[in-house]
Amino acid sequence: MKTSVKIKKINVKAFRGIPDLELEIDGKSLLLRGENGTGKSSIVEAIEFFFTGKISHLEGVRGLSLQRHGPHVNFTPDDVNVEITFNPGNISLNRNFVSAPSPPDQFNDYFQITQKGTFILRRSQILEFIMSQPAERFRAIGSIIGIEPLDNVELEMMRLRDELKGEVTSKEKEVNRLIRELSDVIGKDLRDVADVLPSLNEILQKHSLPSIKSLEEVDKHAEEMLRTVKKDKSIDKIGAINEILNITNIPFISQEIVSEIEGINENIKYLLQKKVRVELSVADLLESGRKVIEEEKMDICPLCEQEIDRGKLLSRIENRLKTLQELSDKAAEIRKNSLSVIDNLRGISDKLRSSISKIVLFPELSKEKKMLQDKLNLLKGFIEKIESAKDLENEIPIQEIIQQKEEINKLGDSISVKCSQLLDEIGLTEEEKKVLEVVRLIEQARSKVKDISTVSSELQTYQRYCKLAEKIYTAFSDTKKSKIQGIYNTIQGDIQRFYSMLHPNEPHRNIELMVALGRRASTEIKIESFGRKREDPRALTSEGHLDSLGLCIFLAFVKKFNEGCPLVILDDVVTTIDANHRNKIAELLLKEFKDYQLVITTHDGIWYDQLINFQKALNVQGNFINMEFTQWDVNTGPRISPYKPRWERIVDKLGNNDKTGSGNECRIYLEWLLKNVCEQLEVPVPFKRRGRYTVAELFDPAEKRIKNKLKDGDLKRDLLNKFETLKATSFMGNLLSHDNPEIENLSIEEVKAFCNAAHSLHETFLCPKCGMFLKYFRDSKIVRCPNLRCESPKKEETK
Amino acid sequence: MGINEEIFEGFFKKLEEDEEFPRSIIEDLRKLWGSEEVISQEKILGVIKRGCEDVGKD
Repeated sequence: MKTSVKIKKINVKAFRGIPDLELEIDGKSLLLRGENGTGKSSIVEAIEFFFTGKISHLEGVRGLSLQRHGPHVNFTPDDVNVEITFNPGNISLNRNFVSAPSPPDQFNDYFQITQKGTFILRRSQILEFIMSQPAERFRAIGSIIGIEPLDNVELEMMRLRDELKGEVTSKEKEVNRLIRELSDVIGKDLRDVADVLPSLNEILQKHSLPSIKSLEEVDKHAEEMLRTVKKDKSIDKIGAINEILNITNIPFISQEIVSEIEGINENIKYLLQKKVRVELSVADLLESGRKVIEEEKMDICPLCEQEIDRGKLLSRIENRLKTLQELSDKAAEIRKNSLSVIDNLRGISDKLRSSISKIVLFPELSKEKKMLQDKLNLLKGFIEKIESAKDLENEIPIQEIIQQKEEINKLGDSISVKCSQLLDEIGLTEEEKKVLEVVRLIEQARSKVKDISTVSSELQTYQRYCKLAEKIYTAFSDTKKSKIQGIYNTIQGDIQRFYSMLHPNEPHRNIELMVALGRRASTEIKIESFGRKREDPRALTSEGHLDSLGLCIFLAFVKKFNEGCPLVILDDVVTTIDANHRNKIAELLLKEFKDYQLVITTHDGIWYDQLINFQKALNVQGNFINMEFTQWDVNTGPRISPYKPRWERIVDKLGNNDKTGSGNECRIYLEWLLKNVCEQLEVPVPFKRRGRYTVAELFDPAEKRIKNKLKDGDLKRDLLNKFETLKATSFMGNLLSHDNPEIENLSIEEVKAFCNAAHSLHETFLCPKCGMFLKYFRDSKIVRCPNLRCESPKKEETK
Repeated sequence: MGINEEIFEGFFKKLEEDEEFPRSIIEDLRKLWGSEEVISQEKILGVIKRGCEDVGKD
């Protein structure tokens, strides 16, 4: 631990359930016990507010806000102030709604960690962590280890790669389309541009015309060929007609483009039916709703404020979000494909414009010129309609496009026929006509090759960008995964060690945190259970085991990543864990985190006592402030008492002649004592599904175990005497006869006798040297004080 | 060195090991990471384009 910054004092004013409170803890750990509603969570919230400026469970919940619900109900936000005094240096810092603490440089490490809030663990977070999806778990871990910003960088890298992949695919498609069109021009199935020149030369050779050496020579070659046509005076006219024929000989609009538009329109129709624009607009709302309901465990719908079945609603929201994601992907695909079609239609418009500019020379084609102009305007209108359809504003008028395709192509055919007639009028020989045809063909081929070359060049650029983006993403993602897996590997030992301390001799081992390789940001937890390797822990362990696993993972991360910050807050984290395992958690915390400043809150009296027993056993009482929140009042806030052992509380009540209070307290005390005896001495008791046992159900088996298991000696004799004394009390008689103990019919002396007998039995089970509860060690056939550091452990051999 | 820095260093090292990868892109990515600007896909694409132009000039 680099620094030993510790909280010395906490002053809370007008915050949550606390009007005014000062807790002097002097750098020690704080153990707080209190029933629900006594204000212990307000202390945790005040500490969280001080360091992070927020209260996590008020965040993102409709109707709840820190500004409105942070201040105590009798005060305004201006009254709120949380002041914490730190050691070393006795430095006081404070946070309110207008200012944040400004720590001195020597507290930088401490505040860098505490401001993330990753030093607090609540029970709800544990289960959420274990039960959440691998991606959410990764985010939770990412927050502890501080790699969230890198996650966003990785996401941006991935998006860039995917976008460039999309561009590459689109350009490849365009090149293929152009090659198919070129094949149609040449009348031969071409695989790529390299096949063009040999194919053209074959044609030239067939017509006994000179061959060409490269496609760049086409213009020169065409000119020379035209000169062979003898009508010198008409040469310009012939050239223009030939150029028009070049364009009109190929249908302006191919069936392929129409099919592509039809395909896009089918998707648009589907999305419009699903009202996707409206649906997608609620995706963010659904996401927020899901988060709120899940994190806050809400049973009321945040929108309509009606009662809900949380599980069912979450599952419905999840399904809707999944569907919306699919719809969103489809919408993105429509946009991408529409842009490619729009590009093609613009290319066709260019051809129409080019035809018009050449037709001008021929008054015979004035009608066709006007028609071409009309079609050009229509095409412009279609492009606009596709533009709006791609944003899902309307469908594409597909029938009109089909009709116009027919009409435009027909117009092209009619222009071709008229141009041929014009050539006939010039009086060309058959030979000359063939030469002109060949010139048209090589010029068309040249034009297509030029287009292919342009798009291929763009394709190459995008391929290069894409390759680099892929390398960047892969290098980053692999490095990140491997570093994080490295971190997991380094803490796996601690997780396993902590878990084994809590669950010795249980068939769960080899806990692994694994970065899921196939996914961008995902963490899986695996465990070997009952000999089955790499199982999801949710499949084979109880809720209590999952809670303790979550706790172990949290503690291992805290140990590794909160170096420089010894503060750890555990807010009521052992609810589902049984008394025996709670005992072990107490031991784990006090042994492994002895240098930390722990703040532990609980409503559980047994765990509170267990923690205090371990403080004594490990001789660290001096490091702890133990307190109880006994009651809470809106005007006075929590009433705090220093820790008083249960027995002292009973003695106080007996002193006040409080028969009911002392009797009930002692009954609970005895119930706890007998449960502990049964657990520590491995007493066989009849199985009960819910595991709740009464005094009457535990008393006989415990006594019988002492009789049968312990060898004859002082301890056995002493314990059996204590059992007999206890049994002889009137109160005990009531308990054992399964009647409700009618305390009012008993005298205070009779209650006192019962309490003393129970206490005396308890004392006999404790090691007189260190106060630890005796435990049966099966392998060594001994009952003894379990504290290995105990200098004079109490012990007795067993049979 | 923090975990974020470690990851970025590992990332740059991996790119440097690739002899075909343009050095100018690595340098520009380093600058981008050091600039504390938000690293967006547009900015990464900008770096790639500049890098490709530089290679073209060379």
